[in-house]
Amino acid sequence: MVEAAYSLDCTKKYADRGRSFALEAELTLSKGSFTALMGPSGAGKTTLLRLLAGLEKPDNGVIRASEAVWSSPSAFVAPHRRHIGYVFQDYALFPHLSVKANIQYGFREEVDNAWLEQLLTVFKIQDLVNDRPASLSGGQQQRVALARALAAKPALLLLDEPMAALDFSLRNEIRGELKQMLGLLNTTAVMATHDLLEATILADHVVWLEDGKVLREGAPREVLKAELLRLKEQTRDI
Amino acid sequence: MEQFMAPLWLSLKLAVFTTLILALVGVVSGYVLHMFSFRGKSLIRAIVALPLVLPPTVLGYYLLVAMQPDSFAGGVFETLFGVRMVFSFYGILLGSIVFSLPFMVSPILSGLDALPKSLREASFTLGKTRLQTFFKVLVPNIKSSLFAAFIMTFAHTIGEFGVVLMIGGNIPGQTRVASIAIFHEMEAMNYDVANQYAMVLLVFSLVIIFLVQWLQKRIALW
Repeated sequence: MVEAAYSLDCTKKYADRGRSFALEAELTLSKGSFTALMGPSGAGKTTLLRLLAGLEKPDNGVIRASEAVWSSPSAFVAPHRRHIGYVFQDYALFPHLSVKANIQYGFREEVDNAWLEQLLTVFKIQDLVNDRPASLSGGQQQRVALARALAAKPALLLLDEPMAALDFSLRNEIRGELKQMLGLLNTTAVMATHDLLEATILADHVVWLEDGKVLREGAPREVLKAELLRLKEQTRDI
Repeated sequence: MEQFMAPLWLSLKLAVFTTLILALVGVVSGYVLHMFSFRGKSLIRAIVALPLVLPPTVLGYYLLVAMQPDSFAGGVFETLFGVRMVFSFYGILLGSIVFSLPFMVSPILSGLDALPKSLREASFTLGKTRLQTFFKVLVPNIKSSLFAAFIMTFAHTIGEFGVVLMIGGNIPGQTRVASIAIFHEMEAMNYDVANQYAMVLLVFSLVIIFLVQWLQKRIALW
């Protein structure tokens, strides 16, 4: 039996492009696993990540991290106490800080210089340490955001369509770097993505969401195959 | 010369104290109003902005009534601090603080509201508390708003007339600031002296505007 690191059994109302939805999440994430959240826009992928991060509170239900309750009607653990990393869609790098200072900001206590150097090396940003985020390309900003999110060696890494704005070859390169770091840390990861290839390469578990409901979940090949078949059926109907 | 300079120094003293006190009030209220959700927040924001639309004489009148020695607030100040608020420097300082409140708080709140929400959320997920996030991430990114707030408050206080006249009257050395000195000299038909005060305030205003423009460019590059 695989150890359940995180579990959600909750509901949350959310809105997307003027439409209202109710997310009904019942999900278990095993330790060290990589889960890809997939589905059309408005499916509830980002809301689910935000619930895990503590940036949103569920309307009902419970979110647990091992034995600890993170969110329930009577308890709530603030985001800064959850020991997570979060890579935002817009990267959310701090404009007033250099690349190095951005990453150092991610350390919970003292800066571990050896780990900092390793992050800079793996993400190939050693030459950018003194640059401000505004002067970086999309790919470079993405690498800094990943390095910053991993600085504190988080137990849970949440990625919100982190590579949506990058070209194919850059995505491939960054995927490799991310995989290398996650393997090193044994971090549990959850990523919202629209990219089938990305989900297949990175994830060992895929959750397909639609209108806030989990439609199906399982190994990437099975889920994606089922979704492709469904899509094919729908296209035939048209 | 000393007599001529006295209202100018008093205006400067009033503006410095008002700006310093409001800087503290502005940053604290920016923190509370931006970082927390609570009932009545919209009402507080509306009250803070009220002096922008309220005629200064109306505000001055209410403050004058509230600060009378036989009123509750006036009595508290007199009993606790031994300070009489009406027709004194402390009274016009309080009036200036209330009247200039939106000039300090509004730019700070606008600056904070304009920042992407993801900046503060990123800071939370990186293990930082609300207070750490506010001072380490948000405040450094609203430098130009802070600067605009300080300058606007200072400049606005220098030219204040209605509230100061209502609460402080026209007492030389205590409440006769430069704008009231212009009024006083006009009434006494000393047009030359009134003109000199007016000229000083005009040049000061121009210098402030140039300073704001120059420094905002510098801050943008900083």
